[in-house]
Amino acid sequence: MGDSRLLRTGIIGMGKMGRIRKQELDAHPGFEIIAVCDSNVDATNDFPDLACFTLWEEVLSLDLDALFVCTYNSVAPDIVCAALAKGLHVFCEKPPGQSVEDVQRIIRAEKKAGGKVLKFGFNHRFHHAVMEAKAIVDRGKYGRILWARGIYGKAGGLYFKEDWRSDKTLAGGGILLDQGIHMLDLMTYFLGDFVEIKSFVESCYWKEMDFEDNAFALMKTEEGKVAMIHSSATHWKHKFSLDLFMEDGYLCINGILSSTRSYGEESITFAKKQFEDEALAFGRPREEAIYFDRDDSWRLENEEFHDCIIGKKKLPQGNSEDALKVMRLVHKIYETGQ
Amino acid sequence: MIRYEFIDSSVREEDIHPDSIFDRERFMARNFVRDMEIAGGIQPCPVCGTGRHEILITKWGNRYAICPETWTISLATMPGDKTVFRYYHESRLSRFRASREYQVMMSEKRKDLWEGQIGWIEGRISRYMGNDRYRVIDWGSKSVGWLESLNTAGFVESLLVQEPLPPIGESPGFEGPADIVCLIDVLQRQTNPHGLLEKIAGRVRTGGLLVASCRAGSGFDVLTLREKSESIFPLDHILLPSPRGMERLLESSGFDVLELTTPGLLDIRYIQNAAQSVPTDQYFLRYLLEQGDEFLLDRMQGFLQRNNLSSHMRCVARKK
Repeated sequence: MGDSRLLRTGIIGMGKMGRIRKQELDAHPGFEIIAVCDSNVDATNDFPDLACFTLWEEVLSLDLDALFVCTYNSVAPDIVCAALAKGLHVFCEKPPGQSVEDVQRIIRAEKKAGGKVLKFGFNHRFHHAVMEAKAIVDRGKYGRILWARGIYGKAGGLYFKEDWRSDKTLAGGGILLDQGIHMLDLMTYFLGDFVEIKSFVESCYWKEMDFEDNAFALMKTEEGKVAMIHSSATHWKHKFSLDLFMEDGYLCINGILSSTRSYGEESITFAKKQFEDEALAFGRPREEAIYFDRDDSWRLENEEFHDCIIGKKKLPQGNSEDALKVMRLVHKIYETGQ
Repeated sequence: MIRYEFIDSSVREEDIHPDSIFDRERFMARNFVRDMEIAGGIQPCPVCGTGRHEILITKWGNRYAICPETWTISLATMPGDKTVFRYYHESRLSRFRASREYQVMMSEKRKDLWEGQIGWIEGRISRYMGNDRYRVIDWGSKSVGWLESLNTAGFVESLLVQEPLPPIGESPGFEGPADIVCLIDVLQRQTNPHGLLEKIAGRVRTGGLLVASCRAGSGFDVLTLREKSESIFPLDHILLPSPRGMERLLESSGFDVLELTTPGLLDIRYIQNAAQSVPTDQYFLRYLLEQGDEFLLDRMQGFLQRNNLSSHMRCVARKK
């Protein structure tokens, strides 16, 4: 790879996500990390070979090509807009801010930046089970989608209340904005735009917190496809499941690979619809299941970002349009459920 | 890497290998092998070149050695090219298999199985190359019915046959490289798998796919039944790579392995059908067969599939 393909890159926010991104970027020959930044100086101590900063504005004064924004929802939109204005390509972790207005502001900055690549971290689309599901749906063998059901739940844990994700100012939303947004992104990815929404947004257990610990939503597209989702911080056993039922078959994703494997094995099970004339036992069709042992989502996401920058290609997914769609959905669920 | 589970208890050994026919095939294979002269000691593993010392089984006078590195199994001493050619092209067995009676029977028995296999190939192509029509080579074809089914698959733009067995003839096909090569149960009859895969690599475009299936030497029924296995015999089975062996083979022949799974359906059934041959000191196996119900045996087969321990292997690889 020639130097022209090597992108001088900075990372803002060296918490969990910043570190994951750094590890993956280090493994990609097209990124050269120049600087890292975190408001907590201790968070940058592990990177003595890099320029380290506590103020993100200082990073933007460097000669960079790309910036990864892995910091609080409250400041991410400001950083993204400033980076775009400086002419950088920007990758921003989800959620893309706290509000629909945040995303709209980012889109205005993107338009002004003219041609810079802006990508948001909806990495679940790059999990192997999800890519397999997309191939099955796109193949059309099972017909059009009728309905979908998704559950994404985790256990809040001992320090849930103290976590920045539970801070009203920094986060701007509860479990739905933090984790459920992935499931909503997948629902729009597979089913399209939702025009009708009914929901419950509840504090079932963590009553003293500012935000919901559970969100339940029923959503319908203009074509009548219905999706139900449950996003939970009181799912004491971690769970990820996404079922898509089509006219002539179905697929179920169970588990999603994470560093601790707490969401279980990642698998997809699929089968053709079989009535009494075909099935060995009616209601128990012959199924195939694929189990995935590797999470390549971060790598693939970075590769797509890099390819679009170098190849001057239109970003196929995780773009600002996707971000706006999903943020509208989050806030519609909040509005109707609270 | 991925693992695969495909539960379909409707498939039975006798459906795809009816005893009346399979007994005749084995008889003819045995007669051919009996007259075959093979001289020499134990050769290195044909997959990784590691020296071998352990003989797993001796079948009809032919020794199968096991590779200590990858658990790939193959004939300890490979027959010559002329012998293999005679077996597959000129022997009484090859003429029987080329007969109309045999081909029609295979088409009837394996129609559903082939349909499932083509569905699998279609799914993998859709996953890795997108929904389109492609230039396909079927390498080492041996069944007229299989080719007819493959030719009607939605992903086939044009189909070329390479190195087929009788009664299939070479087809003129297309010029230039293929997008996809299907290699269905061909590797197991190779004495020089690297040579074959290098030839294939030369015929498929960069980024194109190799979709292959093969019996695996590390599979449950193979290692359990050993010389008692009715489904493994020379020269139908010269090479039985393990998943690790297959991976090394493909990687060293210019391919990136995308998937390597063992979705076999029949390990437990092979053992059930050979229950009287299970050695008396194999208590666990005897317990399983005597005390386990159909549901347990199905779950056991599922476990083998899911953990790449079955003896039927499938893989998808991309040309580098």
